[in-house]
Amino acid sequence: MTTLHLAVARGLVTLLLAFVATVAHAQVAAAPPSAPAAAQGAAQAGPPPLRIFLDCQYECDTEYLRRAVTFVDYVRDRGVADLHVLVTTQSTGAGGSAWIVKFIGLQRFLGLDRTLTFTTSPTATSDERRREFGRIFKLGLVAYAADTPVAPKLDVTYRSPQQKPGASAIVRDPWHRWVFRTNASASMSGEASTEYGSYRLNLSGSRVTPDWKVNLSAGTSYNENTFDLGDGEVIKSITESSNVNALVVKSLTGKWSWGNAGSISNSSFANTARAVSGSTGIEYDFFPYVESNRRSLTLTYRVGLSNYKYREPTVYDKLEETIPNHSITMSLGLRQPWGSVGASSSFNQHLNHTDRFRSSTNGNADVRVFKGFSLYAYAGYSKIKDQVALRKGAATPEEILLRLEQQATNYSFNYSFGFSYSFGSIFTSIVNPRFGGVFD
Amino acid sequence: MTRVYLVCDVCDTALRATVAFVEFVAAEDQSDLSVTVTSANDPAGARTWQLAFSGRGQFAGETRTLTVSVPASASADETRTAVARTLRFGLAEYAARSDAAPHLDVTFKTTQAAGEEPVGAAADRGADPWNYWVFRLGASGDRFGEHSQSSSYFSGSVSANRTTEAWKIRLAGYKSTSSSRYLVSEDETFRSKEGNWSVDSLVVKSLGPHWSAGFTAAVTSSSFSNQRLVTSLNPAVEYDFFPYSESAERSLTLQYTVGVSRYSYSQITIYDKLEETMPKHVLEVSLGFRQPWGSAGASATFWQSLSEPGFNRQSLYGNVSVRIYKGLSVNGSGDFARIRDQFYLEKSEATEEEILLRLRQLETGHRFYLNFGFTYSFGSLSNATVNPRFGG
Repeated sequence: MTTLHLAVARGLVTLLLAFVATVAHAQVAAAPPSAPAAAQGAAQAGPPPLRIFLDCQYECDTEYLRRAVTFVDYVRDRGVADLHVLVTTQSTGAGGSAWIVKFIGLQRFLGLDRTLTFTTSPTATSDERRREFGRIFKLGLVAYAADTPVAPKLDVTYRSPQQKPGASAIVRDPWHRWVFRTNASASMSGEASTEYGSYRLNLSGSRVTPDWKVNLSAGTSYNENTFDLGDGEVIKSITESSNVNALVVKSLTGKWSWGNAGSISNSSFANTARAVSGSTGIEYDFFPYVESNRRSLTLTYRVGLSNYKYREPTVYDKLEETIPNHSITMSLGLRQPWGSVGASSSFNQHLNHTDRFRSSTNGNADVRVFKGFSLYAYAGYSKIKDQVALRKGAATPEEILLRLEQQATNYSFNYSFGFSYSFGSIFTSIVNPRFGGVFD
Repeated sequence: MTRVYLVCDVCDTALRATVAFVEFVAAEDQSDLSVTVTSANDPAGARTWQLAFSGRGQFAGETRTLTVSVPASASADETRTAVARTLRFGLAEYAARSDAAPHLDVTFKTTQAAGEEPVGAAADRGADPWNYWVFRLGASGDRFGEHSQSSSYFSGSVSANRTTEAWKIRLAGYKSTSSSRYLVSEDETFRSKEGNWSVDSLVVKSLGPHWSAGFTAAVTSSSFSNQRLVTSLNPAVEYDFFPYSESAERSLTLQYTVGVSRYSYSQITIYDKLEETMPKHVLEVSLGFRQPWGSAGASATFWQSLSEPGFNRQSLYGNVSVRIYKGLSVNGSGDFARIRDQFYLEKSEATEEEILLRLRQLETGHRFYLNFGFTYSFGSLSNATVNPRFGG
């Protein structure tokens, strides 16, 4: 080892010792907790600040909240919180978000639960979304914080609206609930010997009401990659695909729905020049659909017909064929205070060749097992006996390495798992953005 | 508006006027909730007011009792102020579900000098036996496979962090490996393996609302970059033109680093070295905004070796996400780097598989990335219906 290696190693060891010393010091200082804590409690004449466990998967800007909503204390575990705030979102008919904020009382608030809801528009910026969430979050928290030491500095303010409430209750909707969206994107990257390009265009129109859901969409994508292998050899790879989809769903009862889907597509990866499919099906949710943000268990049966025109002859020597098929899918989704769980199992079968089928099962869980310890896992497995579109002939090594086309297989699996365990200080209220670019 | 049936002796018209976001009604059966206010003397001589909220109809079963203690010396006006405020606290969660909701907010008065960090509830909490240290252990892995190809990835990490207003300390260890298998033809399989690990530390001391000083120290290893072992020590100073307390809305920082790194290579480099020591300095300017109209960020970095000034790199990065007009948003990001610092590259030529699968860093004078897109929505943009049937 060189002197620099040694110097840095020594520095790291010193740092470790320093933090062990500060922890030890703090624990010694906190060791006789009874006397000072009691004195402090008496001085404050009330419970300590409200401890919040904010359970938000990706919707919340937690750094912003910790700066903007400072009358509560944020902790990193439910086990030490006074209040668990569980946030779920679902997309609205307009393409925005419907937020459900569930305030779940713990400890001295056990049994005192409240739910507030609000929506944000599809055109809201991230700043508008975080501000609106922050406002509703505060309105829900204020009653829980009413007996904490900060109460005298808190107040609820009301800015009365300009027009008389109720006057604008009925607004004519000239679009009859139709929403249209177009999206285009391009991305490119490169260096001396490689270049990647990817281009996408999507159009969609939808009309969502409690009784009917109509989703129409069309999209196309093109990817081109170039590799200079040296010696004048250049490999260029292209994949492209397009699709037009329609989905029309009728709500029959609180638990039953009837759905029809149609699509036209083509894909270089799948060897299809044109695939036209139509299906009709029925779905049953064992829980009412209105509870779908927290739990759903659906069973869906579909029957349909697909016509394929291939780019190149298939392994069965076909250039075109029509396949009747049916499928059954069971799907479970739960989002509860202890975590979330999902599972799905489906079986697709050709009706003209019943030995051609695909059965897939997957499950995922993200669960808080005990204080500070959470576990997630995903696993999926498919048994594949329905690859009728495979191109005849062997793929080149480049086609295989670059995953340019579907390869023959009779199975596919995918699993991932992980855990995270945190311990130490429970408080996470402090924001320190300094030297942020380096680590955060 | 929420209709409230209020039973309260001290709640005169003036008090009721301070709760303009509900409508007070004269009969309980016309109300959405009732509030009963009572008071009693407590042994310490103060007077405790109790406000019992009880919901009806859509709020059935929603009850809550709030109390507020007023010193015996308080005037009648002070008493009414305290009772009214507590009444507003209790009514907020009901009114948040009425048509008054869009016009409500909660304010929190903090005593705060200009540029100072705001004093929130956190200041009132008791001793923290861990003295703000938080430790994390994590591990994850995934595998994917079918007949002609498979891949796997595993990683593990451990960290100890301490964040206070005055100090930020991050200690972290990380290791990952990934491997792939491709059945290239009937009798030929290509296998690849990559790995890297690091032990990092960051220590930052706050020097007022605009200045910080700190250092990073790290030992790292990367098979992609031919770096068997790199040991670095990098002291730095940073200045934020805006106070750091505004970082969720805006920041403009200038950071200057002078450091030294010791490199040990896996394979002999294009400059015929197996190890070397390189002092360097780095200047970086970063700008970030998150405002109601959208968000934007940009940074420029200049990296240069102090022993071989010819080894240097300049890079520019920017991203923007803006709503231009009612339903029209654009977003884009890009970076461009002029690269003259690849002194660590492996001397031998890369194979076709290494190039196609990006298994090692290749020689280049520049590197760019550009991504842009737009979204335009129109139609019935206020439709809040949620319909989860048949997915989609």
